[in-house]
Amino acid sequence: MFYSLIDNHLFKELDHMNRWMEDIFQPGALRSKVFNPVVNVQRKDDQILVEAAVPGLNQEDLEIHLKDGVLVISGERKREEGVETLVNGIGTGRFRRALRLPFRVDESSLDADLKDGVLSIRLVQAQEDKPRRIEIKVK
Amino acid sequence: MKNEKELIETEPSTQEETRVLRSLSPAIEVLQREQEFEVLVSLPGVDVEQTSVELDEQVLKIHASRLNTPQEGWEMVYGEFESCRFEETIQVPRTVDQERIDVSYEKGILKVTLPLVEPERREIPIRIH
Repeated sequence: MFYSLIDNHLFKELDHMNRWMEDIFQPGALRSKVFNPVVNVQRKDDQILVEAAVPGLNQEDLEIHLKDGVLVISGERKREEGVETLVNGIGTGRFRRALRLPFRVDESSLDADLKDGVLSIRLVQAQEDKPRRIEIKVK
Repeated sequence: MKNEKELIETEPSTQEETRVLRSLSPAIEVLQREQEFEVLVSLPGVDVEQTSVELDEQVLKIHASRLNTPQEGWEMVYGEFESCRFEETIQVPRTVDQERIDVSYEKGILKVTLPLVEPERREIPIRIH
């Protein structure tokens, strides 16, 4: 069940394809590496902590969306204008990571912060999604 | 910079044996400006206390480590960036003013600024034979 947290396979394939197309058709693309943040996911009871490594990015470069049980982290690492890049190992450009969550979450619980280039997103399982204990009435 | 033995011991011991941290080369970006080079090293979430930058002759050595161990009660269910050591060596050109090298850490990026030596203007007399 936990492994459903990894990226949606179809998304990943489409994403790869898009990036490949972008790489081919954008001018100067041969020297460009696409920025793609790595993620960690931790769990404790009804809570989930998603961490994404987004070095150098500011709050306004990032977007978080939650829809139909899929958490999407997207954004852009911009190339600095007017400066020559000799080595581009970190990568630039738009990125999108989609993570399927193992349970429905209470959207109001979503809490995110950015520290030392790590975006941390905390989520709590929705009440209605938690297993309920039903008392059996003995007649 | 702590040595390797100390680093291993800072990993909380679980049921598993303590393990040696994996060594990785961090992602690097090098920018060229008019009067300086700027080396950006991607080190998100590292402990600055355990990061070191040394200049030995013309070689810049960067060491860092990230201990990404879940807090008590938390379980890592999916991990793409876990605990590891980072090591990188960068050869600095002779044109860099070693006295003015500057290092800072911000937003998960270690920035090493390598200012270029101001070119000296010298007048060379022309000898007429």
